[in-house]
Amino acid sequence: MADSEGIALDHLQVLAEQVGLRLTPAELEHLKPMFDFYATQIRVLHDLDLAAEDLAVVYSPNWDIQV
Amino acid sequence: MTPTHTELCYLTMREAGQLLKRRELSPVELTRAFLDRIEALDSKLQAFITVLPQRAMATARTAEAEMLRGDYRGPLHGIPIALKDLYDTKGIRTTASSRVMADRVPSEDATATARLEAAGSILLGKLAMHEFALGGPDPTCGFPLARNPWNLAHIPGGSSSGSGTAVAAGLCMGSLGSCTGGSIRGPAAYCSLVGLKPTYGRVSRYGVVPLSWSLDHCGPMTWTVEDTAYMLQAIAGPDPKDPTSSRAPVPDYSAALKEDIKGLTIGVPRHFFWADDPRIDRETLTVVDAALQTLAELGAQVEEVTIPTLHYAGAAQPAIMLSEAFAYHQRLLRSQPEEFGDMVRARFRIGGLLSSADYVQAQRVRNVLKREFTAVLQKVDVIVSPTMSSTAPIFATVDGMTTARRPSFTGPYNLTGMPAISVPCGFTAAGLPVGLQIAGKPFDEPTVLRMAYAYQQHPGGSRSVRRCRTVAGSARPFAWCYQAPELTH
Repeated sequence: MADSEGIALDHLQVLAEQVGLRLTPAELEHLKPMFDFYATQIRVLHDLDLAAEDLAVVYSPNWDIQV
Repeated sequence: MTPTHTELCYLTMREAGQLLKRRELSPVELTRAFLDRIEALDSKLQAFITVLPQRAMATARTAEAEMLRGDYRGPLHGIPIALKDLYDTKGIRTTASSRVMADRVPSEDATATARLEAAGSILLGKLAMHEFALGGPDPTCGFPLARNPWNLAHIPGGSSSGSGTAVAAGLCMGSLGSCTGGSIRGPAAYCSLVGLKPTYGRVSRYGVVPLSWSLDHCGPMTWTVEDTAYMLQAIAGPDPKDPTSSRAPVPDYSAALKEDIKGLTIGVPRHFFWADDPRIDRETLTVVDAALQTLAELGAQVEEVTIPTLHYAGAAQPAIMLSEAFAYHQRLLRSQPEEFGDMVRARFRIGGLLSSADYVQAQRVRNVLKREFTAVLQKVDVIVSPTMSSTAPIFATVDGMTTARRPSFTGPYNLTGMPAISVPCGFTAAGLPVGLQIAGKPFDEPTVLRMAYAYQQHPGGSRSVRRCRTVAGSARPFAWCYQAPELTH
């Protein structure tokens, strides 16, 4: 999503509108470096090969206390 | 010898509790001492959003009457505490330090609030925090920004900022913080306190304003490990109102403190916490290395361990936290964005811009991380590290992204849900506190507390408390006075 210069403002605006956020050009400018920071950071998660790692077990409130 | 009015505020809960139980001290006198101290100092420390003098004194008189007729409820009976202002308090404004909730008065107590009240504690008031438990000290949020009692130019950490400040400065004997990525252990480390994030599910989150449902934890902040055990005992246990609360049995946490740590094994993931990263303060690492040496002298075995996925925790934690935070706040972010402070509004918006793929992948990484920690904890009893990658920064250098840019040493345990405590382990040359983080197996708070207690009983580990009292004994009533003499009182 974010290339070396980060996300384009018009793309950021589309993302914002998809979730109902109507941001002014100044707000988009303000948000862009923060978005780029997180997007770069989070992208590494997608580089991991997690095979069939199961998502559902994360939500179990009770642990195996025999660890 | 009976403590003076001021000295009462330097007592630990255990010490005060013994005096109360023997009827050598009245909860009314104790509460009055704390209210006077708040009145005198909080205008500079900015720890409280709401002070409750009439309610506190009424509760203290009730406690006194109960004790006089021999009805002693336990170690928290008559003990003055304060709560981070996101714990619901029936009939008392609960703001989460946000204009969004500026006039919100809950009709019911949070479960933890109610349990502390049932244990007989006295609520002095509600404490400052970072808005909605996120970001940093934001002057645009419209609420007080707590100062670090050790040096007022520095932040006390967050998001349980007022809790750190108030306990460290002797404005209350203990507090409950909340923690999504380190908001209990961070201020504990920065303010030289004990702060415990219990196992996910150990303490009910019912009635606590959420930041991120799957990462939020509730836990105590006190001067000593012993006092933390008292508070945990009072609030732990299943709660039908919180579907994530666990039915695991609640042990006697104070009993666990009596055992030494000979033969316990400490795992140290140096590849992550001691990494060659310019953002990690070398002086902090030196202080923590000395603490590890102390633990070895106490009989623990120290060995290096590897947790490969730790390097991804710093990406997974914010992806989950911001996505869940947006889900909770999105309606108001659309309809009343101006009601949020600048820092929080921007970061909550980011949560809406992340993709579902980001969130799902972060949760899957989280699961791998849990499994890796589980494997390591089959070989060692606890994992030890610095609590924070550096000491408390100066206010002027902090913006909304300061914490995001630093490596998080606390966030991994919010992802895994394991219990983790911060215990004071010394000071840097600049006089700023350093915290030692001890994490353990799920629901094994007893071993975590036992290790922390053993360390705090050692002359090296107890120097933080002794330093406070030394300064107090030399007519400068609290440790921070030597850093900020204009605040002597």
